[in-house]
Amino acid sequence: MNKVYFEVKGASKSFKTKSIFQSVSFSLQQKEILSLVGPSGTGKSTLLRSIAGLEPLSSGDLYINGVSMSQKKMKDRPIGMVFQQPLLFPHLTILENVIYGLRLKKKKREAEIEGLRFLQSVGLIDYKDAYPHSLSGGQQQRVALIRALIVKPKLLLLDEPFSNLDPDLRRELRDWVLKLLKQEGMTAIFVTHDREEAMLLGDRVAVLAEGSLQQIGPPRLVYDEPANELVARFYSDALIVDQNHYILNQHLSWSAHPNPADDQLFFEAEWLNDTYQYGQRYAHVKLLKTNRRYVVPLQSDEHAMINGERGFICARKAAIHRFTGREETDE
Amino acid sequence: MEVMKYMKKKLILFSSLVVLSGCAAGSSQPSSNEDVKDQSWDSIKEKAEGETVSLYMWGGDDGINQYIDDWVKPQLLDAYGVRLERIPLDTNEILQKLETEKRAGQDDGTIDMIWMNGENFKRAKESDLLFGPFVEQLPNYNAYYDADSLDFKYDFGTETEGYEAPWGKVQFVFHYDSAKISEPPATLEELQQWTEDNPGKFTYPAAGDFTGDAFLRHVLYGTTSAETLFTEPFSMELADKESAGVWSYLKDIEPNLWRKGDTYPSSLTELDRLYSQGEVWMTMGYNEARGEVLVKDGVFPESTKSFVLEEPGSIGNTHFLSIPYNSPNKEAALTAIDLLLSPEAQLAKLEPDYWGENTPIDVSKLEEEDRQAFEAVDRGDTVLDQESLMDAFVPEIDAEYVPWLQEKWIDEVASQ
Amino acid sequence: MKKSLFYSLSAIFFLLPGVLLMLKSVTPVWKWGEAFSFTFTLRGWETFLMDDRIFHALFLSILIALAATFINLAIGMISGKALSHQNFKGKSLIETLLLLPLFLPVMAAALGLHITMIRLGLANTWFGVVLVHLVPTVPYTIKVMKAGYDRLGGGMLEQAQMLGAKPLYIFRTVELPLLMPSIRSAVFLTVTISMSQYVLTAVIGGGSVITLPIIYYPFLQSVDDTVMAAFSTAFALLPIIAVGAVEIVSKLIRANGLVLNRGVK
Repeated sequence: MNKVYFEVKGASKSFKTKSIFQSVSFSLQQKEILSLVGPSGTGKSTLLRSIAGLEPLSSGDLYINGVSMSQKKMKDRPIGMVFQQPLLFPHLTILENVIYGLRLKKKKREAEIEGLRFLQSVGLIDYKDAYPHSLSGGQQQRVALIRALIVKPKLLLLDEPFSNLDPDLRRELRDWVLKLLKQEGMTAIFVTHDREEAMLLGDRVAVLAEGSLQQIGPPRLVYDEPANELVARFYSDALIVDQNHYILNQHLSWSAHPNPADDQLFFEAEWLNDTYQYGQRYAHVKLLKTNRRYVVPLQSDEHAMINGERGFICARKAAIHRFTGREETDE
Repeated sequence: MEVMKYMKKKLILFSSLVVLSGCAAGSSQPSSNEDVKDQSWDSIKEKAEGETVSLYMWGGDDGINQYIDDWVKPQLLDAYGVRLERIPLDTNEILQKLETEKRAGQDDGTIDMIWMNGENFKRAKESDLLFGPFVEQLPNYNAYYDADSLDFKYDFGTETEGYEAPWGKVQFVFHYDSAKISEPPATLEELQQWTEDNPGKFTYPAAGDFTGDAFLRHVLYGTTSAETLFTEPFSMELADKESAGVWSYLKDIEPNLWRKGDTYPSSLTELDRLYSQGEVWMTMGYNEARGEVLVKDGVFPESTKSFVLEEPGSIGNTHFLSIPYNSPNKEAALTAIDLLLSPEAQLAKLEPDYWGENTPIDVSKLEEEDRQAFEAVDRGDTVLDQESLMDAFVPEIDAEYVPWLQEKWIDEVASQ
Repeated sequence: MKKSLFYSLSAIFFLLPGVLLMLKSVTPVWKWGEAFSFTFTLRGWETFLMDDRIFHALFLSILIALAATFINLAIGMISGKALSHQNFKGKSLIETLLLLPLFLPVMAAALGLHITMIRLGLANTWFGVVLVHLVPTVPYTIKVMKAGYDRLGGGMLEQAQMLGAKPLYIFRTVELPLLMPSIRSAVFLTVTISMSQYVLTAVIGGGSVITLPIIYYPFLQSVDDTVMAAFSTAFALLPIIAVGAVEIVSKLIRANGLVLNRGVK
């Protein structure tokens, strides 16, 4: 088995009487990147801040290489963090920003040489003497990332670092970050509310909802086999049949009339509109029973309907799966 | 040689010790009232020598400040070996400080002498803030001042009872520009006639200002029978009954005042500024000699002269020096006050070079030579001769009239 | 266009009155309708320099103002930071309470504090005066510093913490330089207010502490415009000089490399 590098055990946090999250436990191997997803307001950021030491945990503990972190002060934790905003120090040059943390450990010259090497390797060397305000938002976030990486933390936390960027820049930066993290062999936890980002960046994905860790596992596995309704609703694309059963969207189809066949299930739905994505046609429909929206693959020759017209979502009974159940640990 | 050197060193050491102990003596052992009262003048002088006393007084006039700093300080050191420190502080703050110290039970204070009169004296006396009685211990007071004078016995209607020593005397006068006015008015009626003839060229500071209040008292004098103001103590009924004339007079002159009486200067400073700019042709003030330095400095026109109203007269008052209950150097304070009351000090004070202020001394008690010196002082062109001032002199009335007049003025004149 | 408007407006509203005031302080009192004449006189300034305690008073005023400023900054930074970056029960109530001293009549404050100062043995001492000067200044400083910390934001400091810096190092390298504009305003306000306190200084200092206002405030009731102008000029210049001194000190500190040039262990 692979060795556990970073571990969270029974972490809970509450503000006064309000509980933010309870008994969160998970572990990471070295060089592993975990995407932490979940609806907004479920305590993802608070969990990350507690790991960083910016907030104390109400109970539970963290370990890096078996060493407990909860009693350590922030500056003694080998943990780095990149925030939503780049938070570059406006009165310092880019180089000074990059080596701010390194200066605490190394002599000025050594720190500068290392800073310049980093800037060189990420193509920002031309900006070494510039001040942060003259850089674009994306460039600033890059500087923020190498500022955190250069001190070689054992664990890097990224709190939605792309959320303030426009979509194109976001995509570009995402790939750049992934490459850099892998290149540096960084162990990281990456918080996002974007599913796509979570899948692409994470070696594994953890879904935090309603104050608890609902499921943790490889991105595709969690997508295909959600542990429960919450995960299915937030992370997968699946039709929730009842508390215990779901059908993945890819197994759904659309029919204007109920097709009398034994192995088929029908759910009455209202047509909203249809779209094409990379040649595949999808129907956007609303399930009458729950008023929830679904995107159903369509045969290209299927007749388009009028908004508000009724039809049926159908699926083979064989496509019904049982939720895998809540996963408490991941071994 | 060696011995000499040693002696010298010792001497320096000794004298610096004296200076140090002189400073510290104040806070360590303030003399109790009884101690001081029973002492002979000689033993007071002896105890005072080498001490430093502080004189707390309003400091907004460089002539007065110079008189203390340049004349009094060296004289006092010379005569009694006492150093004087002049502390510029408003009387209100001085009393405030004393009141709090009294409440806090602080018996070793920092103030040795206060310059005050009127309401402030009343306040200090009623709150037991003063040391005394002490005036009869002062040789100069006994020799040259008329102890029976009502001026010294009463301070704005409050009995002084020896708790303050007369230091100076001022009288209320009007200043006018003789280039514009050839014959100044001599009565309230003539003043009213003058404002009719010269609309917009006269006004007085609003009630609440020290000088404005004094002007109102003159009108009160002029419109009531003077005797009632003295013989009867202040009472609301009497004041209401007697004052109808005041308000009708003030309302009558109002349309002919500066800006038709819509506004009044809020302070004497403002009135002085109007006068110096030629906006109005008269100003006034509770000091018969104050115009002298203003003319010299080019603030008032060269042609400035002064006059008093023969009817109802010119109110004058005496101002005093007193010693707080917690003065750390009461003996030295006594010597300092005695010096300030001396004919020499009073003569220097009368000289227009410094202060130019009138003396409360009884000139008839002086030696012939001194009396001539006093009479020979030229107080300047803007100051009236002693005889005119004396003829017009009327004393201050009960201090309780002041707040009452202020309030009534606002109701009757300002808000009409 | 906008810039030139800014400059001409500031010239009209700030520079011109200043220049006129200085001119007035060296020329005799001018009367309406009189022809302009530029007779030079030093009378105003001579009166100003008349009291031989002026240099001692100047020194004491500056000492008191700077000590008050120092304490102000310490209190202002700690409470401004707490009010800006922390949430706690009754925060808005405390914020309001902190402003109250500004609405308290000076005399009432002086009276209440005097008795306390006597008991503490601080009445009639310069340090007692420093302490009472906090009353009319600390509320402003807290306001100013709170605004400064609001602008700085909590994230910047957390970021520095995450990079492993200790609080004192963060204070020197991030808070201090980024709060400079607020500190400058606070220093200016505190020095100006402290240097113009008459009543508080008079009551608590009780005449043993002679500052410039104690000597010169009584003169401000003068009708002599030349003297007034000299005093006003001096009073306007003093805070500017004091702030300039603080500025030079902060420049020196920065030049000596508090930020990045010195090895930090």
